Amino acid sequence: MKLSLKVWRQKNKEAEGQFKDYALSDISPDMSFLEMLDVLNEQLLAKGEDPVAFDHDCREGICGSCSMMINGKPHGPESMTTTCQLHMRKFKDGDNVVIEPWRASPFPVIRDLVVDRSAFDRIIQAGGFISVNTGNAQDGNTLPIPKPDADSAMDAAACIGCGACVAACKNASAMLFTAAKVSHLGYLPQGQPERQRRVLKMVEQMDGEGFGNCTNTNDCEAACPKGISVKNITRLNKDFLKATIFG
Amino acid sequence: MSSLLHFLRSTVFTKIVMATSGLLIIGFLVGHLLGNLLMFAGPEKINGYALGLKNLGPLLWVVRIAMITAFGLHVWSSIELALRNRAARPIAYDTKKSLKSTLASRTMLVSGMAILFFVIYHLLHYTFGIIQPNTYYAGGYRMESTGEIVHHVYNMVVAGFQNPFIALSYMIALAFMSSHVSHAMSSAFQTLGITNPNISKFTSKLGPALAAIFLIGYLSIPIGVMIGVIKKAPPQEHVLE
Amino acid sequence: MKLESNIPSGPIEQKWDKHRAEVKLVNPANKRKYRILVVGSGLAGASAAATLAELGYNVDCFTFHDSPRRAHSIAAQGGINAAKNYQNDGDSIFRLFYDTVKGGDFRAREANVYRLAQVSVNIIDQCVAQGVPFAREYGGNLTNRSFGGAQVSRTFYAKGQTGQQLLLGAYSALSRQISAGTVIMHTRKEMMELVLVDGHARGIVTRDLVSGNVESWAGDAVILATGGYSNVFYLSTNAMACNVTSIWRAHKKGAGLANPCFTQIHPTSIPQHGEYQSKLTLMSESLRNDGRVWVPMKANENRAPHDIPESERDYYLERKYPSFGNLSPRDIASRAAKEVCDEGRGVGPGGRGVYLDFSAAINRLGEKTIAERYGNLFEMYERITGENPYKIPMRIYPAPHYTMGGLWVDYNLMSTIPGLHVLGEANFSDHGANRLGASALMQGLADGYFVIPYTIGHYLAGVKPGSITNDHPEFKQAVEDVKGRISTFLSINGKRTTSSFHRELGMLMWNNCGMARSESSLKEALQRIPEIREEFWNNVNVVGSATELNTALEHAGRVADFLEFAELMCIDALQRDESCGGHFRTEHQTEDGEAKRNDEDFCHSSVWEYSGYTSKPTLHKEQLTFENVKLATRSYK
Repeated sequence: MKLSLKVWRQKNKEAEGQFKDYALSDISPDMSFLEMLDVLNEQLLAKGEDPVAFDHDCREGICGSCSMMINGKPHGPESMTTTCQLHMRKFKDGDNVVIEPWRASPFPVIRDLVVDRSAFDRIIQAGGFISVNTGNAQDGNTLPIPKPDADSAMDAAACIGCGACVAACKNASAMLFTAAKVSHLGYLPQGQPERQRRVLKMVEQMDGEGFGNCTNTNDCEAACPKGISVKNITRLNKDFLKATIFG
Repeated sequence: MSSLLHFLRSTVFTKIVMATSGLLIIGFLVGHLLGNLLMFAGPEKINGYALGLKNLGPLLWVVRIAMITAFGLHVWSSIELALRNRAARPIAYDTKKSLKSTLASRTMLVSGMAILFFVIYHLLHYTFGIIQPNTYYAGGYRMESTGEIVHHVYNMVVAGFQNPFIALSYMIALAFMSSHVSHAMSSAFQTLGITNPNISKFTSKLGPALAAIFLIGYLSIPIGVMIGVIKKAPPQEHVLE
Repeated sequence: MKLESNIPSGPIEQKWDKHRAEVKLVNPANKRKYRILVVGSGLAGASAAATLAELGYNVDCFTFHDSPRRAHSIAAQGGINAAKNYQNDGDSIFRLFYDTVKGGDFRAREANVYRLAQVSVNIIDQCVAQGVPFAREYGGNLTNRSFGGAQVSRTFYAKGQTGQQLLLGAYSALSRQISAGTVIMHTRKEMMELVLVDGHARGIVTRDLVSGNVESWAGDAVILATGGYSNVFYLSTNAMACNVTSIWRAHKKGAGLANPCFTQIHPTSIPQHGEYQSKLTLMSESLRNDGRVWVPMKANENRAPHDIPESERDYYLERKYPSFGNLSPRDIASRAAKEVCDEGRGVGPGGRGVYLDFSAAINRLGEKTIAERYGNLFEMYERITGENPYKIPMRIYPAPHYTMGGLWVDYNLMSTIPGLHVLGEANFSDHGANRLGASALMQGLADGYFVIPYTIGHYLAGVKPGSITNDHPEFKQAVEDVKGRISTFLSINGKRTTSSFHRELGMLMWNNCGMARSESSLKEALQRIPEIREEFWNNVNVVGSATELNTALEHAGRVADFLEFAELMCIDALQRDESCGGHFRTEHQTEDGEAKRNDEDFCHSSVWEYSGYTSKPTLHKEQLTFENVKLATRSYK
């Protein structure tokens, strides 16, 4: 199939970026979206031009590296799918495809489609952990955890940190990301001792990074390739209120 | 103490302010609607209700100040949050599609601003009588029960809505208001951390339901006037026109 | 090069305890004077960095990713083994040890494997305490699944994302130390060179992938936890950036590289679908718990799978290995798949695939149960292939997945270069010639959480802290070397892209040094590799500049090292004139096509010493002795 691409090109953080148009032919519907970009890059390299830089690594939907806005949707048209798992059979011959980086001031563009997502790491560093040194642990079965709680914790913990929630949110809010971690640890008995401190610290960091705030439109949930629920945001709010009143 | 400081500085706090003030305003809207529907019960009822409110005295001022405060905080928090949101995405997307968000949820700022203008307009119209002074000062009403002469709220409203431009402006404003309310309820409960699944199942439907009730309820009055279900009260004797 | 394995004396059950009681310690007040450089932030690197920092050391941790959470450990799906015996099904530390040694076809070091089995139980406890959401029973206790190569249920899991959850656990521990200031995290920095001062590993040179700055870092010890080299095959289940560079650089500086030909081919990957393919996607081995593997009885079958009656299907794993059946170890399952495809009975485009069929399990347990167990894997399969595995059997084929070989380390996980420690997949230590499923996560975390924190002190106690800084001439020299290499790449200005070389090398390695190897295939490869390398250095085109984010340059550096490393891999495969585990020499097989070991001549680890770009490496042997497990022919029948 043939495609017309419109891709954001930007040399570095400081440089001005602009869109460039590329035409591709002979794209197989069995290719993944990133393999399609590989084809583009091979062609650019053959012409001695700079390839389009984009973050990617595992190409099986789990590392959370890939991050691009495809035709106005984070990770493209298929729900519950990362860009690397999106396949060209979801497009039609002759389609126009607009490819942009995540847009948020805490995610500055480094080059082309690559953005700096270290703000997420700093949110985790602010409190997204349980303070237990290696060797401190008691037997794994000492604390029975009801299966529904363990399952809910797992659902929240499935976050891959890709940033699609921020990209999709009209306010560029990182609430779903932050809430997923708060919720994951909040569901578990091990997470209780630091529960209040954690939510206060993480929200403080999230605000400090300059993310927008949540207006509960729920686009984040729809954009999340792992289907993290906005219920986690409600839980974060509840924990936050509790921590303030009783903390 | 330090956690309280965190709380006050955080965006989550600002949102809690927005949610609680919004819920207060919704509470007011319910009361206001019930009062307004007395238009269908005739001049004696609605004029008596207006008089009752007036006679509340200081209590009325408590309610008024509470409403002004709620409204003020609601506007303040929305400005605060909107400015942050704008700063969070300085460069817009070339192409951006919404996913599961409703139009109402994405246009809260627009509908909110429309409501703000409407409220000012509404106060100038029926509270301060500046928009249509001739209908506002349309004379008094003698209460059949007590014989007391009171402000003729009933006729004022009827006369107001008999003007098709006025009626239309109210209808447009009501559309914005119901759009705003339809997202507001579930959003407020999410912000306030209501995690109980049974409650949140209920609250997610409450917003659209209230929006519909407000729309139908409030619209019924201008429409009632326009189609003649609510007519101007006949002139009373002993009352100067 | 002297190979001193430093295995403690005494009975195997007591070696580790004895060793811990005897190793030298660094007292708490002195720990903060030491700086340790950890390269890699996967399970092994992150757990080591966090734990060493908890102990009081200063740690610098380096990753070429944008975040430590992206390391490829995250992609491990199935689970992690531990000898907890929660299932009361007869598991024990000895049994896990035994299974691992046997699974590795008797080419691993007994003492290391026993220690691994011992600390496996602590890993689960540690991870639970960190909040890793392992799967649980309704009663609230941890649950297990079974995995290939074992007859007990000892695998702990978190849906199909166990690696992710364990890595996020280690990442959270690391994040805690970063916020405490005890770990300085360096992201988007790729290690380009190891720096030795007076024969000791004292630092590294990195390239900042965003600015292109080449910088050097000095420390009192260096830890490499940089994973495996499956991408030498170009197509593998590894992430795109996985590479051999850091261990190859260390090897060139004098670290012995052991058993590079021991690579694991995973039996359940989605078959290749086209030329343009960039990587292979693994389907968790846990699928073999409920899926039945089969191919048509007759060659060149054209019927759709459900049109082939039961009587014309060959459930070849169940037929050949009745007691382990579909759960036979990875190397055996992989080779069996290759065999039936070689006979022309393979299915799907190109005939390189076998069916993994869930219809029996769905009939027995219902679609809901199967969806609970494997839902996310089924979805992933459907996304990639466009076929619904609830209705049509999956098609799978083996793919390079893990490399058992790596830098040689002693019992303390120190390489032949003093001060250079190697953890996780990057070392050679625990899996012999074949790794059992759910053991990679176990080894990475064992090394990082529970071994290196003890053993590194033994080395550091003999080192004066902070005695070397990066002003030392060796550092200056290393930086110049790296810069020179980078400018060489950029000045070649040839005609071919790096990917085309990588693909060519990968194809050669897969055909000649893949699932099956022979003297002739290896000799052919050994002739071709230098030719490809020669062409690479004359005809590669690397665009862009050195002072910017340049993905072409990054790839070129990695492929250049693969082109050197591949040769050593083939030399090792040629030298090991026997079949064992994942190393299958077609000359050495039993009558029914099983790997035939030669314990007389090859009961050793082959450790290679670098001796120059053009000269043949020197072989050293670490003899393996088996005192607790009887050397026997592996049988999974």
